[in-house]
Amino acid sequence: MKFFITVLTAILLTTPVFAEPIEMLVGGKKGGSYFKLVRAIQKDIVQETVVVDLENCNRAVEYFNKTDKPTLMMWSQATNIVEGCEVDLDKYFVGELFGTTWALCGPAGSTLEQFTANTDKKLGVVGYIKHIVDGLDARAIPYANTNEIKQALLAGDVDWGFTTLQKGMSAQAAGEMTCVAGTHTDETDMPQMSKLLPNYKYATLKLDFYMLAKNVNNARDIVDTIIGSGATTQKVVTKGMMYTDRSGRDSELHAVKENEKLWK
Amino acid sequence: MLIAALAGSLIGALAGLIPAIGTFVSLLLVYPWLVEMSVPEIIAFFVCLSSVSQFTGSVPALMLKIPGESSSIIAIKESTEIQKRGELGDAIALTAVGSFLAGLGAALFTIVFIGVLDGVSLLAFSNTFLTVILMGLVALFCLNNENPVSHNIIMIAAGLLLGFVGFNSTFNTNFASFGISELKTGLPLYPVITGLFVVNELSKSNFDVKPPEFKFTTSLKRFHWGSWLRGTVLGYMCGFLPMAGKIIGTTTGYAWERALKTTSLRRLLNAESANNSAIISSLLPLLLFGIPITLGEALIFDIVELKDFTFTINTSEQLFRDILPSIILANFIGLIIAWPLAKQSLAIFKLNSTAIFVCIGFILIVTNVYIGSLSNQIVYYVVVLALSSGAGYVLRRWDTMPLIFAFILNDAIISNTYRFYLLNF
Repeated sequence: MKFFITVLTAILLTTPVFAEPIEMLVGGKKGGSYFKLVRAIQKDIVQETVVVDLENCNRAVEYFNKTDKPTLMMWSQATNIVEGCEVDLDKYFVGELFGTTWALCGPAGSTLEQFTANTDKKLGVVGYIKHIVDGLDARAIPYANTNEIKQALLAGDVDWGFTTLQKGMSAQAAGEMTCVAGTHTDETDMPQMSKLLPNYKYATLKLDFYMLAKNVNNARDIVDTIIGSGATTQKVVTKGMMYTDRSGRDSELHAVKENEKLWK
Repeated sequence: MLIAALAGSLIGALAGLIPAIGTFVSLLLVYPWLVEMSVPEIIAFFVCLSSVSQFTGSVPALMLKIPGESSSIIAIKESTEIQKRGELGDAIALTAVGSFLAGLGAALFTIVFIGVLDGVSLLAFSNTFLTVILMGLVALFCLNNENPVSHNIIMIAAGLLLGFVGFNSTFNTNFASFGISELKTGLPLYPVITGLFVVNELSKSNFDVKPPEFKFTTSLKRFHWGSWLRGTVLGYMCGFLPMAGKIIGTTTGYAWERALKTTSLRRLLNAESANNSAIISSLLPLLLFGIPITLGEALIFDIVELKDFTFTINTSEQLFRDILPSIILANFIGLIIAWPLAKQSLAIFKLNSTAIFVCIGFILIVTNVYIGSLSNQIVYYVVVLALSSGAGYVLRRWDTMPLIFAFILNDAIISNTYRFYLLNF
């Protein structure tokens, strides 16, 4: 009997708990940035997870709304503003993950005075935020990503570029361009856009990546684990993003929703 | 990298031998594997495939008058005269060695001079340059094709329309998705190409032939360095021309030799050397500036983009250094298959053509289902495959390459043209 109990205990202790795996939805193309970020996050989650690749945000939202399984979905303002991709954040928001801030950059040696003096300037922007030219006396030239914006600026196609802070900083360090203002520049010596252009509506624009969850009891704990973990941090650094201040679910949600107003 | 290079070379050997299975179809057959490869492996695979197919493409062209590759037309043209004179053994030897030296020469020339192209890199980022190149490609597709020009224009318009379905990041909106979430992801590349291109090509190919007798020779007495050099240099220069660069290089070299009143063997040597040299230079616009100038490169470009990789002047030099050993290996493999093993390689023509095509069809269906399953879209992929295969068969009298080109490069064409308009008007 003792032998039987010992064997049974050993089996119970060494057998993984057959809990239902958490599904992690990807609302972006296979191999793209969104996909890679989710894959990195998956590596840092202790529980068993399965990635469900759904190619775009419409299919991801449809799946998320219908599913009864434990599900996590990384989301951002860039996806939540797309027609048909809106998610009820009050209900499903878990916490902020990381984010990107923006910088206004011109050819090497540019100054803010040159920017303000130049009317009808061509400003390279990422396609989904081309509305941020409102109030800048500029024409939006849409590009697929910030790499293309940098190349267009170097080739002389556009006069200025609205790029991510990290991209702008590294290009500035290489002497390729000069960034005259940034949307959130606390950790750099770049001037704050909100101070230099006080009337500009989008001077505090930020792209937040946050986690949504359904049927996952310890979702906030999972997010806490992800923040600062190896694979995620590596990807966050590679993508030129940064972790955001974590002040509790409600205040993070408030910040995300306030920022989302600038995305529409 | 070695596995990618070996696989590329062996598949390239088959691609060159079997009519209708060219470089592009071969790439489609291994698409799921390509997606999993690293960027240097993808490029190595592609360049090995393209190089070796040029070697083996000449063998059925010379012996059976079957164009294993689109650029084997000169070999077919000269094969009658060569067979009549009993020079088939010499032709096989000269073609293989000429191609080998041309491929290696072009690769070594590139590795020496790729670094000095820094100055032109900014030009390539310019929207005007990109738009002109893309419009040039569209024009070439309209003019340089077996269809009438009007048909090509319709094809390109149809390709652009098909590529426009779904969410467009430049315009930040959905087109022609009719509220169907599957359509919002766009029409999937793989089943569309399988149906409209592969089915179309397979439905018009002919396989029933009998190889002639010939005497294998190791003698290179008739190798002419002048003809080889003319072909290699001309092929390298023409390789930069979009789409038809390889064929233009081959035919121009051939015309040059004719003007010099040289022999059939020298004309062949020039043309076949030009082919292999052009394979290397045609890769450079893609590696240096991210501009695909052939259909196969457009597919490679699409896969590499999925990997978040951008081709730039800074990445190109290292990338080319990485793949150089693969190019050398491919040229050796090509030389062996197309010269000492030339006769044996034609054994493939003893196989039942129907069985080969059924086998290819089966692989393509399974691959489509597999790729669809990766994004939970099996039904969608199968439906698109069925519809595009029907369309590919209906269009079997037409060459659907312009449609496929416009479909793959839809985003680059539309977004660059739109930006050109915004920047200049």
